[in-house]
Amino acid sequence: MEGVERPQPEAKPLHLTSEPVCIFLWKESAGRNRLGIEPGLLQAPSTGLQACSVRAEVIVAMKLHVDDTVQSGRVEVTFIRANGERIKATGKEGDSLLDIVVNNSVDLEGYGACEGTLTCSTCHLIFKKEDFDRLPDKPTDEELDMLDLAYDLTDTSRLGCQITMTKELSGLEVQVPATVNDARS
Amino acid sequence: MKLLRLGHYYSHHCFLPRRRLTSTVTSIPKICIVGSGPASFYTAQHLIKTVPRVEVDIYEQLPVPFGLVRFGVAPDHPEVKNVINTFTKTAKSPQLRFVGNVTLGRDLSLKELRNAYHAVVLAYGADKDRELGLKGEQLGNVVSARRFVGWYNGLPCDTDFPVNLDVEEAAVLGHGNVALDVARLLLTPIDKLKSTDITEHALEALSRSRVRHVKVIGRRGPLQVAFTIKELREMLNLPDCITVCNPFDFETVRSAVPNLERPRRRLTELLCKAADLSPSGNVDSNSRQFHLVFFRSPLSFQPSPDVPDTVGSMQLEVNQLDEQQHAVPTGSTETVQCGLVLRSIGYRSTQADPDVPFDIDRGHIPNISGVVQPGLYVAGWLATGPIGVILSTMTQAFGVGRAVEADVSSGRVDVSQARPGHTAIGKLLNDRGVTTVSWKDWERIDAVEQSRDIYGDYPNLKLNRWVSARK
Repeated sequence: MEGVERPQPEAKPLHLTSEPVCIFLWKESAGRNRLGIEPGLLQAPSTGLQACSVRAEVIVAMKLHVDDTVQSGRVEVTFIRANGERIKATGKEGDSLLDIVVNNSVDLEGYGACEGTLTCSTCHLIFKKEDFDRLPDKPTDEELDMLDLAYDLTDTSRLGCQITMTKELSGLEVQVPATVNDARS
Repeated sequence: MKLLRLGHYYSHHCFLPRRRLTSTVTSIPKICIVGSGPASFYTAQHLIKTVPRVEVDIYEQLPVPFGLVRFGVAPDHPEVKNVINTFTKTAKSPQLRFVGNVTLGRDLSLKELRNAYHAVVLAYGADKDRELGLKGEQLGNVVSARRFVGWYNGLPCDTDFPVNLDVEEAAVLGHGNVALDVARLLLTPIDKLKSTDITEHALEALSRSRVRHVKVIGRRGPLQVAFTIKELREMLNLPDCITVCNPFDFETVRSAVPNLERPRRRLTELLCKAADLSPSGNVDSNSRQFHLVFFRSPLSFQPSPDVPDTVGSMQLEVNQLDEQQHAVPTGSTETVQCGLVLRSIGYRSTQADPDVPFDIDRGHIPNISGVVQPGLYVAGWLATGPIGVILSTMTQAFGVGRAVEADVSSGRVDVSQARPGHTAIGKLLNDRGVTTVSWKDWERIDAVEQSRDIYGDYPNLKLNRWVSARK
């Protein structure tokens, strides 16, 4: 039907989680669907499912990741353990470093005991000076109070649960401090 | 190699009958832990992760797990208890068995455990506290801070704790986090406590409390306080409460600040700030007041003239520090009016069983990184003394786990031969008429506690009488 031309939403790739639920997409105008998404861009990286053509009602077993910024970037962090072992992990913008450890099941025993409530110091990480200086949020008194109790405290230490990942920080390498017992063994 | 091993057996009085030694593990390693607080669960977590096929049995005196995380952490610090989620995950492992309501020394002996298991880890913490041994300490209302904490946290043996809050002046002896916890509970506006899991009887008593002034008294100075900055900050930020310090106590402190390590420096700076803001001159006596008193040790307690057999005042001696920063008396004394005294000078462990190698003077079990001897280990406060937060306990417990694993994999603890483990101990307990509590039983108790969600956001008002819940 002829009508007022409506502004077309910009096609953006959607990053979807792997948890399947059903959503319906249907054709409103050629090439686009109600959500304004190019079907080819609608995919779940983990399962590899892709949306079908918009010429028919499409049932896609995906869960839409609701995010303010539809274009959620993936970010990468490398954790370097006391013995030199390097562990790469990924997450998305807005994840804290604690989230990334938990979601990737990074093998750091006892990490994040208080679950990010600033009542322990087990998520303590040591940054390179240049990374430490460019972290956007400076530590609050509450963070410093808990950091003061951490083992092997340095001038470039932070609590992982307080560091939010951004695109600019992707590629970060952080040192996981040795505990007192690690240092002895 | 074999000869060495036999020698090892003789020197450690192993109860195993002599068999041909093999180097391969042919049976399931069975390890038991006495106690179910953070030390126990972190040790168990590490063992399950690193010792192949291990079975870990935790024996706990109370019918409920978690030790001080449940009974020591203040009700207004619920986030500290998040570690319970980690422990619950460990407890749900098929390799872990929880056995509650079993007391070492009464229901079973250390000998019996060492016979039944390849290795025993003692992690039963510190359930007593140090006493002063002073005249008048037996007067009414001179009480243990540890028991006060147990009272407001639902520890069954402290439910009927005889504390009278119908007094204005209270004193807390000690400068650690427990001292600040009890001071804070006495000075926090009652509305803030209503939304916590503080026990009903404590909430009710605190709502009727007349306590207005709490003096937290330590024998040394601001540079020697044992409490940590987070807890101090909470005291200074208490609503409707004035912090009072004597600026004289801070005279030599400020000059020392720049040379301190960051944690001590920040803590001391905050103390100095409190001293700067402390009101000089008279303070309205109706206001709630938190007094930080330094360089004072108690000498004796005097009865109140109004209430028989109850404390009314305390004699203090004034101290100074020697070169080793120890407190030495100056010879001056003072009297302080107080109707309630809480003693918070440190927790203390006990021997539990005659075979436990306990050092009475030091108040814990001597060990090297948690090892007493191959096959016998100690974790947590029982190993280190009653100091440190969950982080230090966790680190020490992981170290104990590593030591046990090293002994198992090297053969210092011989797991090539089967041990009966819970099969034997369970039967023993049954024969002795001990009713044990399984993890499933605990989940039922937990469900009842969670369902009493009267205050909306804060479930888990603790039941301190569990018998009916378990039925």
